[in-house]
Amino acid sequence: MDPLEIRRTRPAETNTQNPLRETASQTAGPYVHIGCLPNSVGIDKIYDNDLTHYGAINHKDPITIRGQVFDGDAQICRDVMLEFWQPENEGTWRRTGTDFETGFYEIKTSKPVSMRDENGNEVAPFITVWVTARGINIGLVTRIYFSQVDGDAQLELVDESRRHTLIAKPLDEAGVYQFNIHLQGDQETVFFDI
Amino acid sequence: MSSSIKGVSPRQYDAQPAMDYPDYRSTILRHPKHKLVAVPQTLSDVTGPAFGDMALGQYDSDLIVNYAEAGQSAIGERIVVHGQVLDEAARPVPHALIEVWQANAGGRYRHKNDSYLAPLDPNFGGCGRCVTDAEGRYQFRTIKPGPYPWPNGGNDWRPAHIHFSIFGSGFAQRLITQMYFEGDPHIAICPIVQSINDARAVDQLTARLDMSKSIPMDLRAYRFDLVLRGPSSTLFENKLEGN
Ligand SMILES: [Fe+2]
Repeated sequence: MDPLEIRRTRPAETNTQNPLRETASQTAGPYVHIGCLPNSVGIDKIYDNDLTHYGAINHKDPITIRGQVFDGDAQICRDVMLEFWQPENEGTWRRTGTDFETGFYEIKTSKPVSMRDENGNEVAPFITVWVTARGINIGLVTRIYFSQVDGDAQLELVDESRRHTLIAKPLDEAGVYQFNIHLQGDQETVFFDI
Repeated sequence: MSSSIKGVSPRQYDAQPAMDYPDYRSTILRHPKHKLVAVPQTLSDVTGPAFGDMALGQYDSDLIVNYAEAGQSAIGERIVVHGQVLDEAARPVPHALIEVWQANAGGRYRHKNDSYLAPLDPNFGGCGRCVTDAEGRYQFRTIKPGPYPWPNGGNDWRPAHIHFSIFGSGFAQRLITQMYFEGDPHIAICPIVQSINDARAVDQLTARLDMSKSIPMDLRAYRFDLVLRGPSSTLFENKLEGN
């Protein structure tokens, strides 16, 4: 595939009304924890706590999401930093790393609510996820959807055969969901150009 | 929560690194092979966590001393890094949280996965943070990090660099990048830098020596401005259902 094809995901829409250009992204590298989760790698003399939460910690409709991140060889990625954002109420943001041994991440948040897109269309509830790590040159954006996704105008833009990669899987434990991320491969997760 | 009623301008991928850049080996199995799916923006993209009011520690933005024993300081070339955060419309981005991390003066990270020969500096942790002021300006004190070798299949050395993480007002502006130092010959031969196929964009990642902000007999200054995605012309109403 022509690599440029990957980049040019948007139609002829341009950005010429703006005089400056966005600073280029660079990989977060293998040591992203030093800057973003320093206490998690033993740098505990600088910040009292790692910055892992913004917004409510107690939720009306609490859920737990856990999962792993896989590369194109289906190997577990253990050096990933993930951020999660949902805007309802004052907004809820979470940051976590995948575990250095197991590769699992886990967050607690609330079930998202639906909102409207820029065209005024109601869209199915989702949580925005931002994925960074060594080997990821520009942070990848995906979304965790739950149910009630039939006929959603945004998901209609995603190949039907790939939509399942965006849907959290309920586990046996009440309120607990699994959301694995495949950076590449047969099960490659859908990533968005927002 | 920070909120803007405007959309965020489309990302200009021609000034961004290639996601698939085999010379940077780790991208080979970690880039999506499918195209990104372009979708209309929602409230989730134009809002984000507001860290402008968060309580910062007194030395959070001073890497020279924030890990050091009392009365001691990190080893290395003392510098101050400063600049302004703007959006693509050249508007200052105030109250933006910036987090930085870096290797020590010998090129060694304080991280269990870094086993480079260069020693740790007992007085250097390697991270700091600050929030931009009303004009989008920021600064922090640190020591100039050393270049270091890294496993990429050959004799690869990173240019000296400082990692930056920045939150704009909308989550679609979220950015992680690296700052390089003017005159470093490794910039031109580093596959991570060269994954950006645009000389102007690489230049924009290169901090300039700024003698006007250097302090005699103390430290030198480097200037590094950052640009986040700007406003799009699309206005839309931010409404949540059931809220
Ligand atoms: Fe680095």
